[in-house]
Amino acid sequence: MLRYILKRLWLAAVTLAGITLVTFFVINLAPGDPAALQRRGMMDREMSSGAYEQLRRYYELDKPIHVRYVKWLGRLVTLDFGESMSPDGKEVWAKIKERLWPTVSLALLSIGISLSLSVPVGIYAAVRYNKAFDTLSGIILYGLYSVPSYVMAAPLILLIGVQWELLPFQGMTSDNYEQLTAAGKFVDLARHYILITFCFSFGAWAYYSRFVRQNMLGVLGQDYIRTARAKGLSEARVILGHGFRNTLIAMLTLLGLVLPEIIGGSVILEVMFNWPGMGRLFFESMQVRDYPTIMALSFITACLVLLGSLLADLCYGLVDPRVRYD
Amino acid sequence: MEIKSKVWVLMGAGILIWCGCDQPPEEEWSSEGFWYDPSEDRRVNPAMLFEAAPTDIGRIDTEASLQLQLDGNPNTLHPFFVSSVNEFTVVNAIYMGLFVYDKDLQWKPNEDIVESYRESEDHTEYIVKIKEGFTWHDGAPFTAHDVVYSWGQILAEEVPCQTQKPSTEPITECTALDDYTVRYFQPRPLATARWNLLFPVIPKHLFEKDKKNNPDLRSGAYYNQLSRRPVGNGPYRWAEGKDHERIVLERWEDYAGVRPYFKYIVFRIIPDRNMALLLFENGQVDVIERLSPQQFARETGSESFQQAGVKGWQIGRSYGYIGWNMDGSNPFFNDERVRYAMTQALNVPLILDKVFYNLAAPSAGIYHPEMWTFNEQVERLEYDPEESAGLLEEAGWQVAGGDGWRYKQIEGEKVRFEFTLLMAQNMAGGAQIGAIFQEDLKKIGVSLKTRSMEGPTFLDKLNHHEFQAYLGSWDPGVDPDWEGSVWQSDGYEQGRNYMGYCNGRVDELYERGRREFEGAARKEIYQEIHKLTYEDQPYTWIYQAPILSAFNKRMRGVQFGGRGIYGFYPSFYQWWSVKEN
Repeated sequence: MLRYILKRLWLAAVTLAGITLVTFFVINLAPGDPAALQRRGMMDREMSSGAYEQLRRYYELDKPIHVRYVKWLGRLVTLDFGESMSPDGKEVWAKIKERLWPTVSLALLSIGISLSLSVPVGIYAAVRYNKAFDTLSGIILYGLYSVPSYVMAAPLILLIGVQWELLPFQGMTSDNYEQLTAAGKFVDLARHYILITFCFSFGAWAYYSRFVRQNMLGVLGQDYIRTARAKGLSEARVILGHGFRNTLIAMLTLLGLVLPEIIGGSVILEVMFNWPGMGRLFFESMQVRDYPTIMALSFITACLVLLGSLLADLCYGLVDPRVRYD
Repeated sequence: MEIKSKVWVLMGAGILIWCGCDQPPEEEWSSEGFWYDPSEDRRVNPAMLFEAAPTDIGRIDTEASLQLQLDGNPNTLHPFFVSSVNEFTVVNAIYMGLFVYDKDLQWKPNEDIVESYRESEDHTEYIVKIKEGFTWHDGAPFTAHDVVYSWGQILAEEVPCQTQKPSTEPITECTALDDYTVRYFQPRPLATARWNLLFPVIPKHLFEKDKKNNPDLRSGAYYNQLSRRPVGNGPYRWAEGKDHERIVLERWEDYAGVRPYFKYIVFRIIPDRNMALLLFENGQVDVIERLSPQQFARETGSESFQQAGVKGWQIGRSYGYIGWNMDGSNPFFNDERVRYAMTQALNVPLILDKVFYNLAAPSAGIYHPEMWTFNEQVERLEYDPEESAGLLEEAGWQVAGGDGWRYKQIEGEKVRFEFTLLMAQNMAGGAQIGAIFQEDLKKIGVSLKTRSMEGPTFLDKLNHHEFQAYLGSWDPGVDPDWEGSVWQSDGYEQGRNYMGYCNGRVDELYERGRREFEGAARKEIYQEIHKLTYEDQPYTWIYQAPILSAFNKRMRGVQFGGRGIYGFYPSFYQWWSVKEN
């Protein structure tokens, strides 16, 4: 097992190096130069050529691309993502850190809600195959799946947020947040999360529940399920203990793929709800060619993809005794 | 507006964000079957909005908060490193410099802080006496040493505040004659020199503390804190803030100058314009600086808007244009007749109606009619497709071959008149202007393709002159000299003369303008530049962009400045709110 993990980690490191190399060269060779984008100053005074060259030197854009890549890689060893190339010049990690919690908390909540709703619905729909529940849940969930999140967000904001003033729809906290008690703060935060979490997650409900249903249908037709029933096991035990456990293998693959989405965010919803998420950070960084921030975000996403895949592979052994790591 | 139509607007906004641009979708820009005349809209520029503060202070609500919308998060409040209009707006409320722009964007000493100002006869030396009694928000005195320190730091190579450097570079000496007197020396007497004195001043006693560890004055926890919670010297001080949500400033009661009327300014960060409008109608935002023409004309008719506020409309100084590449890389636009033909083929009245809902004005060159540099003798070229076709014939572009397109024999080769118009994705109304121009040109046998791209790529193409024509917009700058790099021939290599425009007389006039101190003579110089550049038509000038704002109906004392409602002194310092009984 340990040998298998080490081997996978080694492969992951090589893959990661390849991904960073390609990403670094692609973004640096794309048209646009972070220093040139800052040339026009406040009130339209243009940066002098000397100042522009000075800025290029400061960002080390005057150095060859391979030299910059090696330096970037060297810093990465100590997990130093460097300084942003946008005019604020903040440390990249500080920029990411301030967006991390809003994004991760939203994604985890969304995944949690999606799974806790979709898994039971999927299982029950499989058990009630072709019955009213299966058909009705299919219609409703596919209906939701076909609605883009921003289309759903618009009427929700207008009705629940503006018309009825039931829930806030901008930002994460209210103006008086600092003056609230701990319980008040929790309630305030929760109220701000409701609409955006719903919009963030409802599209996945159909996806997860249909996924579970489809896999369950495949499993429920197997001989060992018939055997379990013949042994006189309760229906709940047959469905959950034998049926659902076998669908977990496919679920793990899916969850492995979901891991990078945790920091992905969504530009559209983040703008509509004024949510300070990673989607907007990535978009804004692209707009100003902030290479260090783009590289850091790409690196973290690549790490999560590889980690997700490794964790899924390791978890197969937990749910399927046939899997060996020799 | 009905809830149903609001839903559509918000969905449209969602699609836009998804597309990565911030303009309304094409169908929403089109005013098909809709006619809007702002002069007939009684909610536009009502007199009460501009009412100056009364002497009877009892009418003014001096405890009120002013809630202003910002469409992006100010990433830094360090005055050296501000780069966006949003950052500039917030920093301007917290820091107060020795010199300011007034509403006409004229330079002047800040009367709040400056006791006296003297300029030597040869325009090389400037002596400024600061009023005693001014302090930073932490109580430390504001002195000449702060000014000298700031000048030195801006010039220091290790401080990468490049956008501040051009102002400061020509000053070779900035010294403190005593604690409250600053002497600036600039060896070259230039008419533009006064602008160089206008640089941000930071508190020396705070910023020198961590210089040894972080010479760039912005890295490290200490400077990060100063950038997020600045200690300024202006009439407002930082009270609280939450990144990407709001910044709250509180009136500083110890301010030694004229104190503003609002007790708090709450900058609300709302990136989406449609959301901003909803929050305005809900009373959570008092002022939106920039509405889109679509919003201004069509989405402010609801009862909730009417109950919430009124609208401000002014024709701004920035203009939209099409720039022609004249560097010889294409066979079309070196010929002045062709450029004239292009200008006369463009249906500007249609653009003003369909794209701008009659809120913009036709542009007649590089200056706005209200600017002192505007030349009354410039006659705007009118839309005239017949004249345009005639000019193309004259230039050798004939309709031949039976396909309706124009061709010309160039070095033995039959070349079709077909070119591409580049534009940035976020260019407001760009797609619609492109479509209108496409139709206009088709009528006279010219084929136009439009290509829009993301901002940085677009700018890269312009910098490398890799275009035939492009759609852009400029603001002429506070001093007319600042636009020199657009029109002088040496701006082709290093500046913003993307087109390869070259006129020796214009080059000479810009040089003269920098050395001319006499007001009337300087005016003549720039008026001639206006005339020459219009006659040469390196651009097809299209429209003067409108500045469209929304104000809560309790707002008073508003002034329109050269660049909108912010960005000059006193701007929101003199706004006031009616006290409700």
